[in-house]
Amino acid sequence: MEEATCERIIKSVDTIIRKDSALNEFGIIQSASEVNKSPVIHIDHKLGLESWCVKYVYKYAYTVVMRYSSIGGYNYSESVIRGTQFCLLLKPEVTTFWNIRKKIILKGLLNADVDLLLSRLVLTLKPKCIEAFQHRRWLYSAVLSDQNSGSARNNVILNNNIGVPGTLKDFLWAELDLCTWTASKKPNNYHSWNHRLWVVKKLSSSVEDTEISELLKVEYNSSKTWISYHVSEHSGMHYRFKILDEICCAFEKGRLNLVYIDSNLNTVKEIYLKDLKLSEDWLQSYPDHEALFYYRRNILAKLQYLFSNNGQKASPPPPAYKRSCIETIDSEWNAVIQRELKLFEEIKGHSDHYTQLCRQHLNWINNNISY
Amino acid sequence: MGSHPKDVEITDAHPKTLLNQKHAEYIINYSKKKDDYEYTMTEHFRMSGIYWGLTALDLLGQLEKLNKDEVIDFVKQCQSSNGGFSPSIGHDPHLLYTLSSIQVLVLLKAIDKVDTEKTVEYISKLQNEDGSFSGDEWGEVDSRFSFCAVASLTLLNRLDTIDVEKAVQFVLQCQNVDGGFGTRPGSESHSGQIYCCLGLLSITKQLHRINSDLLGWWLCERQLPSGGLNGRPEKLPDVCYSWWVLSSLTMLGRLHWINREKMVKFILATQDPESGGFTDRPGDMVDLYHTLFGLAGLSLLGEKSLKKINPVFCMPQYVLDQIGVNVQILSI
Ligand SMILES: [Zn+2]
Repeated sequence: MEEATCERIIKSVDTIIRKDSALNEFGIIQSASEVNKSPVIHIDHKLGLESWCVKYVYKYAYTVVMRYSSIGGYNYSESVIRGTQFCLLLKPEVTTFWNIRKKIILKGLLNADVDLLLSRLVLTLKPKCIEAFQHRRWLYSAVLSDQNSGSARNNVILNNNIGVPGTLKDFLWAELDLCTWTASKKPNNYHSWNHRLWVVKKLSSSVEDTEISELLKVEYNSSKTWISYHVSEHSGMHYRFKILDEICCAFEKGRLNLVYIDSNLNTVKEIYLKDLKLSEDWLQSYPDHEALFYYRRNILAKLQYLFSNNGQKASPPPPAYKRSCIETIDSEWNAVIQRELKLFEEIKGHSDHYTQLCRQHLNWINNNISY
Repeated sequence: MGSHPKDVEITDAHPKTLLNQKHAEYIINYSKKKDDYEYTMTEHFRMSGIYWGLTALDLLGQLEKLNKDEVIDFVKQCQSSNGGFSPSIGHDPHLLYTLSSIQVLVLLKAIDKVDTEKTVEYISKLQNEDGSFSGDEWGEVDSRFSFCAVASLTLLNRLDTIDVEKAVQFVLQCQNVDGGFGTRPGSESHSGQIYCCLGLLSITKQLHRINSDLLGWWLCERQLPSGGLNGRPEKLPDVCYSWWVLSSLTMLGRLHWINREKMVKFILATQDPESGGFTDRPGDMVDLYHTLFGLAGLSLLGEKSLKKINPVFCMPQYVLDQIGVNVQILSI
């Protein structure tokens, strides 16, 4: 394929990304062979590239970028911006190319908005791409929220979602939606849930108390709904467990009222007791799911810690609980454990797999829980 | 154990013996293959690829089949002016590839061919206030990078250049109530991260600071009826995760908690008898990465035709003996 053709395709992709800030999907369209028309498709805010051209154009763009990179002149070159963009759409694992763009952004020669869009497009094709999430965290920390980043920051209009300008807070809220989307596209999407935890941390440290209550309430409810539809995904359950921790922290700091989260909640223990019941309901409906057992273990471990601590501070939680945690046996705790032992007698025996999971659970209780 | 919803089936059609020669050929041919496009597409992790290939060949006792000078020359060209190493020429340095480079050079007894003083400086500067490590100048923090830093400095015998206690404390903060470790404090437990965190604690002789029974159980529950191990609950078994879990259990002195025979059977079934090499699961495509971890796993499980592997550095044990590096292994 001729260089001029490659150049034309790269430019055509660039023009679309620059013009349509509401682009919401990138994909490769399988096509058998070269046809006499442009392989770049742009329909209904979706960007597609026909597969026949990928190999040639990628190789060409890669070579252009590496050539500039070797002479150190990439800071000022439009072709490096376009080249890295094209390559990253297809191969976002190339960290060096994200780095080149970071340097250009810091020089004020590339708008951070472009990279919010680019990394978003990458995630529509590869929803668990760690490099894309990393780049977004960097954009937030080094450009969007950094008062010193000067010209790089001034140009940003934060049209991160659908082309509507907003504030930093709006950006973080929209980031939660992006995480929901990536999590729904790839089961047990570790990097997506990790990114979501990062967003929650950033939001809770940058907003007023009323907004943190709102944030944690939304996450408390949405994570519950998420789990009920994704009972085999431990990642979502781990996230909920961390949200419960965040609620405790905010409550202990006097930043939120538990009744705002749920009208039946008055104490930290009740948060976890309620999820213990919730986990029981989930297990009754979906007994074959190991992830649900692990969630239950986490809740039990946390409760044991809380009971052994006589309702003292729930945070920070110790890393791994040892049996010696409990010194005095609390009658309420005793009731929890008695129920626990009975529960698995009740629902034992639906399948061999379930029997195995129960055996493991009881083993875990024997090793880690005092009663 | 009964049927399992998220497992694979191993049949009589899968290999049952170790095809040593096939694997050596696969690795040697891979290193000769210079398909333009594939070369471009894998350049961003080339240095790790070299480490996987060389280590696997050494385990097979065939290290001399590769051109060492060519490799050393390449590694030298990947050293950046700041002392760090990049995955390939023209790419940016990162702790991940700095460790791979040092492992390759130590394996080839060529560490004196590069400016290690600069490398030590590069690594120690990446330690943050809280003891964690950034992977490079752009600041991303991950417990994997802590491992890379500590392992690299240990191979260079310069662990004294960082705040080891703070590095240990950061890693301990990455531990969850289930006993496992994640990428950062609060992140979900993940076998790959567990290996890195335990590796750091083993090198710094701090393994006694964690609840080994709790973590040991979590790890051995990763074994599925097929014998394969997964990396997280309800995920499919995978040869590379088998390695992370096996090496972690070894550090904890609890390797005997899993069914060895079944594990061996699973790893052997992931060999491709035609092309050589290992895959993630029986029947998939082979690659260098799974080839190293398949062989390393078998070595850890006592396969006699392979050289002994070190569970922490994932390098042949004799290499570490030669440079006097030892690690902590718990016993129960
Ligand atoms: Zn794998």
